[in-house]
Amino acid sequence: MRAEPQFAFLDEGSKKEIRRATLKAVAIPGYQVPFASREMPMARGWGTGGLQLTCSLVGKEDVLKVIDQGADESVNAVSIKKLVQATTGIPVTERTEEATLIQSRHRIPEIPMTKDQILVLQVPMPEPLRKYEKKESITKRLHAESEYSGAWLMLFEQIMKYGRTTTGADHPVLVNGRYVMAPSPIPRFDNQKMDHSEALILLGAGREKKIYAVPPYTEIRSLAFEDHPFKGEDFSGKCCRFCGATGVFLDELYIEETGVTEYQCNDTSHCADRLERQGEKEVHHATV
Amino acid sequence: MQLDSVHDIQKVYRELLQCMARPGKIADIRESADKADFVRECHPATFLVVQTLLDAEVTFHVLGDRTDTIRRKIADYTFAAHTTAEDADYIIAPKGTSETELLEAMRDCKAGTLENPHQSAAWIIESEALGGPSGRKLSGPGIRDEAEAPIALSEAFVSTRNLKAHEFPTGIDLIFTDGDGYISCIPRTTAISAKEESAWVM
Repeated sequence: MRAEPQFAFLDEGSKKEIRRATLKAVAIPGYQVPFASREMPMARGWGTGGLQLTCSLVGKEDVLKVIDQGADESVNAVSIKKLVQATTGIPVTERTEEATLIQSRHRIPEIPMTKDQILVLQVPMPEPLRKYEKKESITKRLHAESEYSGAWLMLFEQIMKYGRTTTGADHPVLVNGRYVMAPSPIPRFDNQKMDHSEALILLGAGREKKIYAVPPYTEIRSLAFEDHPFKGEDFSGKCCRFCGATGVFLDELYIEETGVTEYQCNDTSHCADRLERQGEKEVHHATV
Repeated sequence: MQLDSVHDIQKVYRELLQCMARPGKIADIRESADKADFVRECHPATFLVVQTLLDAEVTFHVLGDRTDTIRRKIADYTFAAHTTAEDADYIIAPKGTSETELLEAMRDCKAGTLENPHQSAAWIIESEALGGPSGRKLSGPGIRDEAEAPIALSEAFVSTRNLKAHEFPTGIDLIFTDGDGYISCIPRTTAISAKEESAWVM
């Protein structure tokens, strides 16, 4: 006899604990609430924090989308989708607008999210101050005292050395004018999408046992200096080689045979969606 | 229909989460509240919120003069331990709790520390029907411009709460429940405006 799996994998006690932490996280935007990260059937560091949040949230009426670095089809996204589907039976989708729950690793979808959606971000390193302070007891005190000169100094040193800030992804942000927060390793391009977002954003770090949140309509400012304003990745003059999209986050590809550098959409579902619509247009033109 | 400890509680949680994320929003949990009709001691909505959040790992405190029966019910269903208002993680103010008692407990309850602001009390307050005119506006994270306060709040209540949430990130988060099965939240980040129509009285 095979026992039915518990709905959404986690037992109700674990969900309750995650839910309590999540509510506190929402009430204290940007503050990392500790939680008793559960053992998941997946290695820590592969999105267990995000997965636990998803499992605590999901209900029978949800539609789930999982993205791994912009792609719906990559292995991390597929295994997470499989686990949630096997334990809940809910439908999954690749279309951003159809999803009610979106779990993502390192990207925020190109299409703006709505108030009926919740974005769950997987976080490897929730502590933005960890790069220069190893002790948790001390980073906690620094947050308590709003003592962020270290974070500023880090950016200042990058500017002194390289003429610009060199944070590739995970550029620290200031939440609601109070907490410096790691936005998870999303590209700088996505930082602005967090500012006054319509959707609630939840961040989960399974290995580091932290949950934090950005409520809707909350001010998110990327740390920057007056004379060195914050800049996202710049793709001006470039477009996707498939769908021709501009103003989106592009992946750079060096094609060895031709020696040419080409660009393509990082958000695969957005690209596929555009191609589909372009195809429809072509078909329409052909028949007219 | 019987209350489903997995799916009904999940629905209540999602509404509660959206309420906490969007202060002033009034959420409808009537469908689940109707199934909790076996609860006589408090509002079914209160019972559902308690069922969603409490277990043996947290403590609670019940105010008012019917505290014994409610306390027993909650302890029986959740295994949470009853404690004083000073130490409780959740404080429940059933309908009919006198304002004097409520405010005294609010002054004494946990607001967390600057290092651990999450170690604060969350309040579950039973109120009249939510959504009536309140004369107060809410603003802050989770609110686009302004939102209507879900319930009329007295001057003393607002000033005691503001004093408690004075030094962010410390503070208390409020959950309101009414007898019809609606809930609404005011977290610590929300600014509550002064009453609009009242004239300035010195």
